[in-house]
This record gives sequence, structure tokens and C-alpha cells, in this order.
Amino acid sequence: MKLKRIVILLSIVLLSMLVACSSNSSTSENDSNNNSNSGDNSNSNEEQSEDVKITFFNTSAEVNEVFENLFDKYHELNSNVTVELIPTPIGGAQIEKFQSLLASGTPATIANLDAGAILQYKDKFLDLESDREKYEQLTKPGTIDRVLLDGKFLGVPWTSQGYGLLYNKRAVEDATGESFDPASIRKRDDLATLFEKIDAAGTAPVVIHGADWSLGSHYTGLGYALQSQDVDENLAFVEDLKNGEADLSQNKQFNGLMDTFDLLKKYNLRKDDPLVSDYNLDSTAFAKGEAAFYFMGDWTWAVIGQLEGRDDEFGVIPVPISNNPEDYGNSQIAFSEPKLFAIDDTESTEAQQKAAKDLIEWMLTSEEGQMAIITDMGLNMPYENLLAESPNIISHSVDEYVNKGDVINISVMNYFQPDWWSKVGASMQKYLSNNIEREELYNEFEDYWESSK
Amino acid sequence: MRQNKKLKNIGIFLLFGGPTLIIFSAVIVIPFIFGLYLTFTNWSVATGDSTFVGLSNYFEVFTDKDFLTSFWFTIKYVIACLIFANLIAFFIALALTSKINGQGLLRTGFFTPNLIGGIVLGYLWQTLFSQVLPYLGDQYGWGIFEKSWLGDPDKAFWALVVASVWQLVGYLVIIYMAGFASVPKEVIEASSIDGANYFQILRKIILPLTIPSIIICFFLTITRAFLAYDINLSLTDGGPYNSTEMVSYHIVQKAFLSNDYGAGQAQAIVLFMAVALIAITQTYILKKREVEA
Amino acid sequence: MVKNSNSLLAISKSIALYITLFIFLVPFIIVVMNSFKATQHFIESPFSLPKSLNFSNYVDAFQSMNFMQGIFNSLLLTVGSIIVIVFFSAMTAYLFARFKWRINKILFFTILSSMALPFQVLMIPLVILYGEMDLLNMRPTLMFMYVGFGLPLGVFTFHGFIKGIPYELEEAAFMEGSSRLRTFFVVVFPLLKPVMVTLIILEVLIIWNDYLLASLILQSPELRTLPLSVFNFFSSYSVDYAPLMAGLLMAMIPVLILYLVLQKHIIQGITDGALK
Repeated sequence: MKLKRIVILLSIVLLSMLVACSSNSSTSENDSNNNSNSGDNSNSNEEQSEDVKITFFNTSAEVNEVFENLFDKYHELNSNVTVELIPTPIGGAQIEKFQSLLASGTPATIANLDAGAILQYKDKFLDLESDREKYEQLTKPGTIDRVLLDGKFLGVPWTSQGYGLLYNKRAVEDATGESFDPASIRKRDDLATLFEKIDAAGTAPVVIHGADWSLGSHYTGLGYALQSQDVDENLAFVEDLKNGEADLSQNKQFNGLMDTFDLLKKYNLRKDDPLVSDYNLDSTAFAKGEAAFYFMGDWTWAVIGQLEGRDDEFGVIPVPISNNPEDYGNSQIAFSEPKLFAIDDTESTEAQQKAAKDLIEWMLTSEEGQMAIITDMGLNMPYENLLAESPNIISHSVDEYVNKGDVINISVMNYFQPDWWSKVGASMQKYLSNNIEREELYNEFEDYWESSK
Repeated sequence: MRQNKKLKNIGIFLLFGGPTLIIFSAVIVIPFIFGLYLTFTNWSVATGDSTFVGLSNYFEVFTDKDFLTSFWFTIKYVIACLIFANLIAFFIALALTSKINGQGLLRTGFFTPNLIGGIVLGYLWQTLFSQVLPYLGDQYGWGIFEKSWLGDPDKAFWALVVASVWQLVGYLVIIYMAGFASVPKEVIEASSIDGANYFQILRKIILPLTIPSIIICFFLTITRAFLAYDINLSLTDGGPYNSTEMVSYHIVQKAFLSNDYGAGQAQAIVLFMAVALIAITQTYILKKREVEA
Repeated sequence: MVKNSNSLLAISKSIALYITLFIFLVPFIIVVMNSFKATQHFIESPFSLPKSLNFSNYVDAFQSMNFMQGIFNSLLLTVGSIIVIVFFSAMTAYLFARFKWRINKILFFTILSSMALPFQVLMIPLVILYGEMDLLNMRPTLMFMYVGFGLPLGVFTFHGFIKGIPYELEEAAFMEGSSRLRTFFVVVFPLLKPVMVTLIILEVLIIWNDYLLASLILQSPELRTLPLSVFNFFSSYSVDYAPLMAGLLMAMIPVLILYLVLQKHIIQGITDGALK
């Protein structure tokens, strides 16, 4: 606790300077609205104790407005609860902002974060064990198991995402001249045959989005998740990598995955300039049928849904990793609950935590909440008995796999260091742009793991 | 008598320097000292505890290969920015302060791009480099633009330089223009009339007289370019494959994304010392010239 | 003959300047053009002219940014901090330029070197210390910090120019019994006008566009500055360009007006000839 003492000491010095200064400078401190410390209200005044103000840290920046409207509605229903949204900037700055809030002692009451980030700050969040049973009943089977972090229920899932090879039905059928049955692609050779046909017709068979998150996290992440259906075994595989005991070049799953990547690479729309990686542009190209397939997930509906002049029928198929249809991964798509609502357990008062729990439950179970998430945001919810119909065509297709249980559990990625995807993503970019061979790619992967012990 | 003088001097010091020094200490010095202290600990937000670890974070700085790579990359970037931004800005400012048609329009025109802040600027240039220029390259067969500059490490470097210079120029032009305010009008006019001796006048008269603005411009270019972060994040995001990771970007990644706050902070301190040394040395050298001139 | 070649030179110089200006303005022109288009059209053909003058992006941006609140906050912070910066930094620069004491030299270089400080060094310490004092999420705190970060540039800029002012002017004032402070404000301060205008423009650019520091200090929606609101158009993977560009242009207007007003004074300095 030496640090605390230093902080206080320096603060006193600073404060005395500020006082000395405010009589000197024109900076007046009068209009300091006292809402900085949201916890103050509840313990200072007995009468006011019913009024609670909570804050919501949002890393899903694209839906800030929907959340804000939802909070307004909640305030109308519960006039004593005010919810304030803390928007976040893009990219790495999100986690900077989160850390600075924690460091300044003003963390948000609710944080909408990636599961991996919650795991990193697990000591800062409230254990929701007492609500676990309730949510197990509300959600689809298997959901809560997937979001447990180190066996603990720290965050409530609110959205689910599936990814794989998205297809544009019209584009495929126009190119091949026959109707397309997604179930006909059961192994890599099936895909190769189809790509060849599409290519012959002059349409690009596939577009690979060259960004590090897509290549590093989504694509190579499959390699670890496909080792086994058991997350613990996947983690054991990663442990072996860290200890230098696993050899990727001998690994069936990784080789299969990269063989398929070679196929995608060969037929990539952006073959000549593979690292342009403009997300809007790539999604638009796919939605308009410039490319028949797209390695991406149902979240891309946020871009596609609004487009004018796009096609209407889309769906998803697994990324085939071998020529044996029975292999794990050839009939399953990756599926996860990427973002969770977690509740702060460092500075928030009990009243705030209680209000936070109620708000979360209301957002996930009420019609207003579900309408906002499903209809307005266009996202999928891993919950039973939904009261809203999703406009997201791709997630309907994802649901078919989920309902059959044909999903790859990718929660192994939650346990990786937060910089892993940018590091291995960089290696994948080199591979995609033909700057390194597969052997070097594997070496870079292995080096990364050994250095991240 | 002497005592009196001393007292009076202290009074002047406090009166003229006091407010600045108090605010400066509260906003920069004290947080800096605290930040320095943190580099000797293993503090992290996630754990909150902090044990004293001595100099180990600093040892790590020099064994971090990526840090050294990004530092070298940044030095190249600084040199390119320093040369191009100052040359272009100097001549534009010179032209703008001599007699020319439509001065007002030109002055406003060169200033306006400055108003687009760093991050947005980066996204704008990203669109230019990844869409507009390849489109034009395709259309007219300009080989240099056929592929996106951002997909190739060498060209991505120049993309960064172009975008940064573009923004810096508007900024530096204002300072150079103010600098020319101290050059007698007749001199500038003479230089613009007598074409034959133009460069002689420039070198012998105008340049020495504008040394104060040159010092400021060099200082600002060096510090800004060394600390460039926004444009790096939004234009290349370190890519392709981390080849354009500049030192500030690397530090942020290290401290916040790799969750190694102490080491990132130590690297930032090293960066600070290097930049301060370079920037102040150049100021010192140029100031000497000022005296001679 | 001589005259002819001169005007030829002048004309070619103008042409060169205007071409440079055009190249210089291209990115800005793209912003203006695309602020009238839908995001989709911007992505598909960023270079095409807008089909019609469609102001809906401006209306959208105006509403979703809560523009009036944002501009009020930005104006308040910018104007307030810049007034303080100009006065304090001019005074301190005068102190450093006129009194060659050892301590002044040390302080000058300390202040100077702080401009080489990566913001990341101070970021976490600032939020920890000011958070401990419960001073976050208030406008005065942010203004105070803007002053702190803005002073070094001011001291640096004024310092060089004050040294160029002949000391005789002040001596004359002292003879008449004027005090140090009065002399400074009556004799020296007015002479700093051209450089002051420059400094104001530079500081306005920094403070008006600041995102990072403001995002760390301010949280409540009613306190948000324009850059904080503009960032509402960024999402995790992509950017909603159309309203962003409209919002950006609207946020630029006050600074542009300020520049148009102030640039005359830079030029005035030039036409007045030398300070000496």
C-alpha cells in the first residue's frame, strides 16, 4: 500500500497548488457540478438514497445511440435510476479508456466488454454466481457454459455472433447457372470445385478481408478451437505451444486450415492488393455480388443491411478444413458470445450494483430491450422465447447451425493475451501478401507463443 | 542596497514566473514525477498492487527488439518530415508574404486543412490511399498508384510522411509568416523583384532574420513527429504487418494492450529523454547562429 | 525587357502557388463533396460529385452531436484557457528573456523539454492524481490542464520574439518611473501582437481539436466538447463517414472565422514593417 500513500501525498501537494492558483488565475471552480463521483448520492443523504445513478461503459461503439435511447426509456419506467453512457473511441483506445477510468477510481458501474478483457480484470468485477441459475434458464442451452471465465460467471451474455464463409446466393447461382445448396459443401474439394466454376464465369469466388483482426483472431483462432471440442484441451494445446512442445507443421488442424486458406487466397477478389482491408468496401463488394463468398460473420449486417442495390439472400457455411466431411469443423461454424455485461465491484455501491443487475435483466428480457438489440442493432441474442424478429438474414442462417448444436466453441481465445491477434494477424498479413512461406508463418506463430509465456 | 535589489528580483520572479510555474508543476511536473516512480514498479491497473522492481523495466527497454525497430523507423520519419515540411512551408510562407494576387484566398486555403484533427485526418488519407489513388491509377495507368500504398511497407512509410507533411505545412506556414513580419518589407519586396539575386538575398538577409521562427518550426516538427500517434493509428494502424509501427504507437500497445504498463512507461521516458535532447540541441545550435547573424 | 521577365516570373510564381494550393486542398474538397452524400456513395465512389445538395447529413449530425451544447463547451474551454495562456506565458517569457539568471535558464529548458514529453507518460498519473482529489468530470479541471499543456509553447514562442525587441524602449519607460509590470503591459505586450496572433491560432488548433485529454477528463454528456461528439460516428470496425464529415465541417467553422479575423493582424505586422 506504499503506492496509495504516495498518491495521497502528491495529491495534497497538487491540491495546495491548485488552491494557491485559483486565487491567482481566472480559472474559477464554482461551476464544478458535483456529479463526478456517482457513488456520493447514496450514502450521503437518507432521503435521496433511492435515487441511483449508474454509468455504462460501451465498447460496441456502433450502437451507442440505441443504448442511450434504451436507457432513456428505462428512466421513464424507473424514475429513480439514471443511466449514463460512456462512449469509447476505436481500437486500442478503448482499453486505454477503461484502464484510465479504473485508475482514477471512477469505473463504470456496468461495462460492456469482450470476454477476454473481463477475464483480465476479473478481480474488479462482481461475481454473478447468485444469478447464474436464472440466466441458465433464460438463455439457450450451452450459452452460460461458454461464457464462464475461469469457471466463474462474471459477465452476462447479451449478443451472439457466428462466423464462417458467408455466401451471396444470387452471385453464386448467377455464376454457376444452377441453384446453390449450401449443404453440398462438405469438404475442401467441394469448395474448390465450386470456386473454380464461379471463377470461370468471371465472378470473384471470395473476398478475404485483410485486417489483422479478421485474419489473426477469426481465422487462425479456429486452429486452436478445432483441436478438440473441449476448451481445456484447446488450452492444453496452447500450453504446449508456449513450452515449445507442439509443432504446428505436424498439426493436422492447422495444416488443414492453412490449405483452405491457400485456396481462398488463390481466388481472392483482392488478390492483387490483398492488404487494402477497408471493411466497408469489402462488405459492400460481397453484398453486391462482386465476390460470391466472404470470410466474415453475421455482424457485418450492420453495414450490409443499409446498403442500396444489394442482393437479398445471404447465408453462412463452415470453413472446410479437410476432405473428410466427418472432421470436426467441416459441418460446424464458429459461434460465441463476444461481449458481456459485467458489473463493477471496486467503487460501486450496493445500490448501484443492484440497479445495474435490474437494468441488465430488463434489457435482456423486456420487449423494449429485445427490440432494441435485435431489431435496431441487428444483433442476435442467445436467449429463448425472443419477442422480436431479427432483420439480420445472416444470423438466421447462423441460428440453423446453433439449433442443431453444430457450433465450434471458440472460448479458448478468451484466455489469450489481448495483443495476440494483432501479432499473429501481422504474420498472416505477410503470408497473405506472399511475403513469407508457410514454414516461416508457423515459426512466427510458435515464436509468439513462446515469448508470451 | 544589494539586499534590496535581491528582494526586488525575487518579487519580479514570482510576479512574472509564479503563475506559470505553479500551473506547469501541477499539470506536468508532479504527474511526471509520479509517472517516473511507476517505471520502477510493476504496477498495473488490473492488479492494482505495485512492488518495487528497480531498473528492470529499463533493462527491458533495450532488449525489446520491436521497440528499437520502431524507434529507428520513427527517426527516418522525423527526418523526412523535418526536411519536406519546413522546405515547403518556408517557400509557401515567403510567397504569401510577398506581393501576389489573391493573397487572402491563398492564406486561408493553406490554413484550412489544419482544421481537420489528427485521427479524422488519418482516416481521410486512408481512404485516399486505399481507394481514390488506386482508382485513378487504374483509370490512367499511373503505375505508382495502381496498388494501395498502405499494402506495402516502403510506400506506407511515404504515405505517413505525405499525410503528416500535409498537415504540418499549414501549421508551419503561420509561424514562418509571423517570422517574415520581422523582416523589413523592402527586403522581401526587393527579393521578389530582383530575380537574379533572389537566392542570395534569401540566404544572406532573409534566412538569418527568420532564425527565431526556424528554431520554433524545427522544434515543433521534431517533437510532433517523434511523438506522432494519431496519424499512425488511423492511417496505417501499424500495418502492413507492423512495419509502420512508430515508437508512440508501440508504447501504447505495450502499456495498454500487452498490459505491461511499467515497461511501456519506461520506454516512454526513454523516448522523452531522446527527443528532448535532440530538440534542445538543435535549438541551442541554431540560437548560436542567431547571435552570429 | 526587364519588366517583362519580372512579370513573367511573378505570373509563373502565382501559377505554381495555385497549383500547390489545389493539391493541398484535395482532401478537404473530398470532405466537402462527400458531406452531401450518403456513406455508401462515399465508399463506392469517393471522387464523384454529389448528385444534389442534400443537407440531411448536416441535420443528422447537428442533432446526434448535440451541436449547440458541444460548441458552447468547446468555446468556453478554448477561450478561457487561451486567455490565461497568452498572459501568463508572455509574462514568463519576458522574465526568461530579460533576466539571464541561472535559474531562469534552467526553468526555460525544463519548460521547453516538456514539449518533448509523450502524452502517454502523463496519462495514467493525471487520472490517478486528479481522480484521487475528485476533480475529474469538471470543466475547470480540463481548462486548467489545457493551460498547463499550452504554456510551454507560449513561453517558447514569445521568448524568441521578446529578445528581438530593443531594450531601449523599456529603459525609456523606466526613466519615466514606470514599474516593471506596467512597462511590460504598456510597452512590450502591444509589440507582441503578430506573434501573439500566431500563438493564439496554434493553441486554438490544439485545444479545439483535442480529443484524448478531453475524453479522459470529461464524461457527462452535457460537458462534452465537439471532438468528443464527432467521435460518435466512429464504431468499432468502421466509420459512418457522411454525418462525420458534415459534423467535422460544422465544427471547423468557428476556427475558420477566427482565423479570417486574426490573419489580418499577422499581415498588419508585415505591412508595418519591422518591429525594430
